[in-house]
Amino acid sequence: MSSTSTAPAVALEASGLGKRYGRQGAALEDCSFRLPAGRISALVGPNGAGKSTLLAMAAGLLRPTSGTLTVLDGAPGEHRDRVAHLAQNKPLYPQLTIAETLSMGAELNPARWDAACAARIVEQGGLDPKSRIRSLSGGQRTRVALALALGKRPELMLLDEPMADLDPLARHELMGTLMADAAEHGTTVLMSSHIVAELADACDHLLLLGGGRVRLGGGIDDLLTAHTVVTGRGTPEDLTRRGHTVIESRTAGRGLTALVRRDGPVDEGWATEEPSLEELVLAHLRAPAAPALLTPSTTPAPQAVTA
Amino acid sequence: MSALTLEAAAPAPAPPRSGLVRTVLRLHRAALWIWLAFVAGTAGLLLWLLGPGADTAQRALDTYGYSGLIMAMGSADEYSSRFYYADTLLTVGSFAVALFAGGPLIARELETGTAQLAWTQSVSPVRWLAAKLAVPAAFVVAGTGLLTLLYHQLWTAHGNLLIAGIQPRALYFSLGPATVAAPLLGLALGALIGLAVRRTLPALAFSGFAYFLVYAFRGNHWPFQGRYQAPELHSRSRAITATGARVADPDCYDDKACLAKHHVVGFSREYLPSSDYWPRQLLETGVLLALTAVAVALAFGLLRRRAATG
Repeated sequence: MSSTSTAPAVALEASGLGKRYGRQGAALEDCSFRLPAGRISALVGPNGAGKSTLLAMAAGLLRPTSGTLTVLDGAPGEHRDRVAHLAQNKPLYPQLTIAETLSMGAELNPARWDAACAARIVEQGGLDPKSRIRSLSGGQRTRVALALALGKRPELMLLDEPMADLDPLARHELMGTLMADAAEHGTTVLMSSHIVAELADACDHLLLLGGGRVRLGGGIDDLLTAHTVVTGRGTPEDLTRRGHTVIESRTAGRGLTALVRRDGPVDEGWATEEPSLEELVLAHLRAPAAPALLTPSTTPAPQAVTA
Repeated sequence: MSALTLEAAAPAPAPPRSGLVRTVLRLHRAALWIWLAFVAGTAGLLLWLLGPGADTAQRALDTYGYSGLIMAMGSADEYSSRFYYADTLLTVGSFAVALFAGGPLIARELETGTAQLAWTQSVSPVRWLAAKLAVPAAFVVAGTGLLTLLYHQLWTAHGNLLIAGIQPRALYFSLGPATVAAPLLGLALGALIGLAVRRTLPALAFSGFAYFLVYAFRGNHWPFQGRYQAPELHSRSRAITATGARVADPDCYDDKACLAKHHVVGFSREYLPSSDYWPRQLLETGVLLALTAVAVALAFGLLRRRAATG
């Protein structure tokens, strides 16, 4: 149980994390996971699954109602200088110009500010630094907000729907900038999005939230390997009897197509295929009752270590 | 205590205070200019009242005594009403401070999420709120402090040109350190309401109402002050005769022949210095500052409960 030096550093660790909003019920409940440092993780889940809440708590903007959350080996908000957060509505001060917004970034993050990096992102979009934020389109604001987030050279980036307002070209380009920057500096990224296909290219880690918990967590390759799309003649019970967990099944023609969590090899009679990330995510979204799966690196350490 | 441990543990130093102050100044540039214009304009009015504005009334007092002031000789009685314009402006300015604190300073930022943007830079919510309160407070103290000093000068110089009644007494007793403390309380109440309500429009309404309560209690209506004495009707005006003796006003009004008959060559008037002034002022200032401290403490408590601070 001693802290093992071989284990990869942990950027984010949640244990029994919960957040309630008044009487509306819980946005998160008993949510536990760990995000190893250096991963680029996709945070997916249905609307209202608590994605934004989780990101805001990690950024030190909201206090959890229960449980603990450790961010870069500290309490949330302890290392504000090393964590960047991009909120869903991309708040910026409308009365400032782009140049003033970036100066504010420099003034508020004096220890880490990389003016060249921030300026480059703004330039790429062909934006005039003298234009006011209030005159920008949604996508242009996103670009400035991202410049502000990347300019502080964070070790952990929490991005809430970062690309939602961007046109496909800008999205592709900004995602490329973001990923190149993260790869170069070893930044850990946790990014929520509804566009799963887009995440598949950029991310190597997945956290799927549902019912207030992490339903699926781990490296994307590991998760895909653990699941198989099987097609053949048989019933879901046949698969279950073999120890596989059927996440979702549907009749296709005269046979059955199912996404299963394998336990050992699948019987000869079934045609097997590795699912795409989208298939995996959709199957789990459609089957809220499926048991959770967290790969070992994403499973939180026992309570005693985190306390 | 958490700030201490953080400073010891974190290798990266917290941003120097100047950066945060510059940011707050930049964000509220418009409000800052309006405030400076307000202070300059009100100071201009006070200086005018202190200088050329008082000439007519002073001449009326010198020639006809108190009667000259109340008999509407030219603009003599207008001076008495203009004297209170500056007080009205100060009241309006203090209201504006409370509304500004409730709306644009705090609630609007929470509503649009820009406060959260600041908190995800290297600035903790507590430092953010501290800067958001300290910078405007410095300008409020400097501005109202200057205006109060000028007003006090004006009272000393020309308080004797005012027509006696409840109004000059109310002004006399309300003018002093409490004039500076009241908008500070407005600032603190506005910030507290902004943090509690988190939406601009309701925060504006509640801040306005809260400062209205402060305003209503000010000017000697605090329960702890009791009532001040009924306004004396005696004008305290004395006539000066050719021999230099000070005698009672012969009640000649503007009858020059009557004045000549009484050998009156001038008048003097001393109005309202009261031994009661400082006890009342200091008590009121103390209460206002104590309420300010309570509001600020509640605001920080609320912020700490909401956001993870570190």
